[in-house]
Amino acid sequence: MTRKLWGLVLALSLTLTALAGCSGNDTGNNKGAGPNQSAPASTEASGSPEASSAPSANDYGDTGGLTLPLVDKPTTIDWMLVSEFPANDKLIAKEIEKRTGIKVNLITVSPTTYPDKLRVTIASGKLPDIFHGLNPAELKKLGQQKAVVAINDYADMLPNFKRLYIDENPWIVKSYGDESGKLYSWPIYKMNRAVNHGMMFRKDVFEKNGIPEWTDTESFYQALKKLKEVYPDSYPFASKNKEYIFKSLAYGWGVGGTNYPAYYDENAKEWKYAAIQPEHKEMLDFLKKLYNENLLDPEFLTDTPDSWTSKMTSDKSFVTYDWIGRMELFRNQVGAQNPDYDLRYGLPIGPTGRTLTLPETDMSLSITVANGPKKEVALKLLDYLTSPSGAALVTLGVEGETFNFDANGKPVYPELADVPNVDIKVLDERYGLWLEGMYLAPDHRSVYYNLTEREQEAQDKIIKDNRFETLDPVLNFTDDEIAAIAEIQVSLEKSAQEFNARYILDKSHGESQWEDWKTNAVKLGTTKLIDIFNEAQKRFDAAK
Amino acid sequence: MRNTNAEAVRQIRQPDARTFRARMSATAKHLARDKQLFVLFIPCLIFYAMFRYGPLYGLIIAFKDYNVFTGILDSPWVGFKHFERFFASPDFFVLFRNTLLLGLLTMICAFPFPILLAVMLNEVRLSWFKRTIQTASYLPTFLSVVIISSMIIDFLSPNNGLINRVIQAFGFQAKYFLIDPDWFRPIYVMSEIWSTTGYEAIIYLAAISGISPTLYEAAKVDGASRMRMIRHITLPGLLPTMLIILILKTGSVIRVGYEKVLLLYNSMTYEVADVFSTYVYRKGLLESNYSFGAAVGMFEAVVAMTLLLAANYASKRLGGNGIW
Amino acid sequence: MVGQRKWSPFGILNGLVLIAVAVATLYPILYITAVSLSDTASVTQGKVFLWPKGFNLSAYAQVLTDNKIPRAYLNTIYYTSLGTFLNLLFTAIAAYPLSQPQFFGRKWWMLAIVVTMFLQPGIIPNFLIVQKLGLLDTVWALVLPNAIWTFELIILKSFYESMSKAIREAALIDGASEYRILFNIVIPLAKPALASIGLFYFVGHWNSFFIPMIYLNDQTMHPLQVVLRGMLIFSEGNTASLVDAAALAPQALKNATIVLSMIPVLMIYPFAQKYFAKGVTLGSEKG
Repeated sequence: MTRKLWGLVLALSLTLTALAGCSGNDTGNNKGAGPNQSAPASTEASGSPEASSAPSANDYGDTGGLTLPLVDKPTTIDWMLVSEFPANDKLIAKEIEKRTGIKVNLITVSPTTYPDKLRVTIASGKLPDIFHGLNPAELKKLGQQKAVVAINDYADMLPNFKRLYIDENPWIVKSYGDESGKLYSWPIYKMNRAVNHGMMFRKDVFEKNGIPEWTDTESFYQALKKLKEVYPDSYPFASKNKEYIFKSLAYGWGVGGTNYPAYYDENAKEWKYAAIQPEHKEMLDFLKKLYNENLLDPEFLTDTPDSWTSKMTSDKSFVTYDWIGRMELFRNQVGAQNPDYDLRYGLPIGPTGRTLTLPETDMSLSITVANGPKKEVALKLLDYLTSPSGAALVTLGVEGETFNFDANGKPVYPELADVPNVDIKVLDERYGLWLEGMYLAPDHRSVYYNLTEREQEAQDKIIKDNRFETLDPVLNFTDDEIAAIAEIQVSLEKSAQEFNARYILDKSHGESQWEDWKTNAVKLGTTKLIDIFNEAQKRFDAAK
Repeated sequence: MRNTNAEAVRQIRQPDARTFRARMSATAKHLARDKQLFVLFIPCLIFYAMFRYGPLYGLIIAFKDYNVFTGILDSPWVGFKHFERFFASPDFFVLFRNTLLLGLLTMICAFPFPILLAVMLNEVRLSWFKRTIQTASYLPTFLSVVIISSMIIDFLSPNNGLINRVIQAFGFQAKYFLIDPDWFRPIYVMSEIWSTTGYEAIIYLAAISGISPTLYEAAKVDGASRMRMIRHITLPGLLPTMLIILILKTGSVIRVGYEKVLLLYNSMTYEVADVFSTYVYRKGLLESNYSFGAAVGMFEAVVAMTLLLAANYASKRLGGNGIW
Repeated sequence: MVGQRKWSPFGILNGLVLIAVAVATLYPILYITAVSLSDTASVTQGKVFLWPKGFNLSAYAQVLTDNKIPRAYLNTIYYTSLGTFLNLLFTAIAAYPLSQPQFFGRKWWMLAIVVTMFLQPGIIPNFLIVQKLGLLDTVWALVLPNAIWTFELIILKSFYESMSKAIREAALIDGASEYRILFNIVIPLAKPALASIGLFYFVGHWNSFFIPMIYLNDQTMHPLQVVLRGMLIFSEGNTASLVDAAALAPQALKNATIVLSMIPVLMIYPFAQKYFAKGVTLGSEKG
């Protein structure tokens, strides 16, 4: 009886193998990329100082000095990146091949498995020609072992790279290169919008109750109080970012920074540890006040995104701090049921009234090129994608085929006319545009930079009074320094968070606990940590 | 038994020469059987050698400064550096205590439930009812840790979580469970029980079905009640399985995974919730150090192995069976 | 006589407790199903508790019309059946010698096997072995490296050990080889245990996501879980990454993928369950 069963299973498996083998080819959405002619001459990208050279391949726009195709015989390179959708059948791969002659084998991996997949691929000895995702320290080690290419060594054959990162922004190599001045990762230029996060509030609710939009911390507090009066069952200020709330709000008190809790005090010209500064205590005091008066959602440390979403889209909460895309996202989700719903951007809270600055050049991906036989081809491809022509391809598409510019200079995608909101995820899925790691110098006419009215308002608010907190210097740590920092931070940061939370939530915590914490923090290593930062800062200043 | 009896009889009747030959042929038979058993064992042997022992050289990552590109064999040797760092970290004892407590509590508290469930299910006469309940009970296996944690947080929400609504309906004050360190362990353990009971009951159900029905019939004839039958037939019949599972679980007590804890803990509960794996996880965010993680893993493995050996020994000492 | 009546007090109490258990485990599943069938606005505002609000099948439509799904389903069925089959084959055979007391070196083999439960060198060394054997991008990478799970092996072995010795003795007298005993006697009698570990193996393969992701580069080979997760972007992170920016997968979609991946397994379950529903008759023993 069992034998028969196994026989059946075996037969079934064999049949299925045959089936699976046969059902062959195409998975990709083969949204016919135009096969025939190259696109008519595209408009020049704005503000590019380089005079583009003449030849015929210039139908593709400003290549920054590169000549297309980039290779004289068909070459394949492997590019490993993060994407949810397979991309080899999509427009992007085909178009790259068409223009540059390079066939790109896109190895797309889902975000959750990417780090592990990258490591096993490297461990197996076969690095993809282009990949990203290692942290800078690891990358430098690989570079020193000559596993990956020192990009600036090849600057002469990479006109776009040279222009942006050698001529215009030489500090990149200083901040991100290794001790011998070699840069192993390819920067991403001007990707960030000016404003991407901040305080947001339900303007419709404010207006309905005659509450003016706040202009400083005190009026913020008053607004929350009034909301609580009108809606006694609500908790006006909600948050889903758990303990990150401290990092986000710290800018408003002058102690914020990318390395929070370590930050650079521009006035004192030294690094400090935010969690033990008096300004930090002021911030905690303010939050404590909000919490005690039931203005701050008591769940702010544990709330899930879904629960927070439901609060913000109903009358349970009205103010929050998050990514500005929520303004549209929430409206889309509940607009049908609540047409008055209007989430808008508010000014930062805190005495300085400032918010974070996003860096102009982003190195967080650590895009890098393997030191293999195809390295020059890979480098040239990256350089092309940095040029206005290549950037337009990756972030806009092919003009005349995938999109056209409308009267306002905004791209319109005819094949996506029925899609309510054409954002980069849609473009990724459909055409393979905006793949992570490919957008090296995004074209600002792309939909990503289409600010909705609300987002534009958000940006204007911050820009108008220049409420940007100065960026902290990007220090170049040695391996030992990184190890030492990690060693201290793991426990220190945990204790800092514990203190922050207890201070706010526990009514009995006050002055004496703060003093105890400060002493304890030093024991856990704040001074040592800050010394490391200041040492590195000295090196940074000297290198200028 | 008959075989040996005949043999014995033969031996008495015909001494010496026959006995020798008889004994030789008996041994030959044994050897032949042994060979057969060994042949059956070969695939398993190859499997373990290739896929479990083969990769073991990777354990030396814990003693090296592993660099992904240089490779396992060529990365520089650092001896016990990572272990020293690990033991010297200020939180080491807190982490050890938390990990061990969480693991032990989960094991001890969760242990009886699958057994109870299996026994109860076994007593059900209506087969459709039994099937439905059983299927329902093991559905949690399909929910990922992320989903389960999300649900727990929602359930326990002080604002409008289900639990608090029930509490308030009875007239009590709502409580914010998730920030109370005293509640972290119970919440964790209870969610583990909820997730694993149905699934683990399956093993016990299979074991129960291996108990000879004649025993039950005989007991019924003797007029035993259901409870008595459970106590004297079912439970003892399950004893070997229970012991094996208990021993195996003792081995995993120290291995508290990071995912669920990471999703359920917060700054207020670090003191009781932070375990080895979450510490390694946080450290990994600051500094990618495979070797450190490997060292911690090896420490956990050594502790786990010791516990398992102890449990196995104790079990055999007390008259039960062991794993070997 | 007690036990003959269907509705004895004991039976009722038993039944009630079991119902409570089922409710506790079913409720989350029902909630997930309800959300998957509801409209976005109701879900966003947290209005769904047990029944769908604004019933619509758009989430399912979205998942099922994706042309990756049918192939992914086939892949999963294939990997799972092949994998479970091999699992049962290997485990059923391997447990037998280990269960025989006279097997040479039994204690040591067991020790060596159990030790492997603890010594886990991580994904990289495992990957390297699979790669060296040339199994990458084949189904064998998914079914061979975990052909035997030690936990299940130990369970089966102890089940074999608890089987009555009398049958084996009877077979020995008849001069049966160990192979005959194993395949004709032991395995048929071990059906309940085999069914239960078979179920564990089955679910393990069915739910696996990480291993296929690592070992299969070819995306046409991806199983269901990988493809389903690919339809969502679990943006739990806090960074200003573009992925977070692009779109949050609606709850309904997320939950629809969960339900769709559960259904086939629920259909398999009754099939396996009948093996451990009733006791096994030991007819060959001749009481």
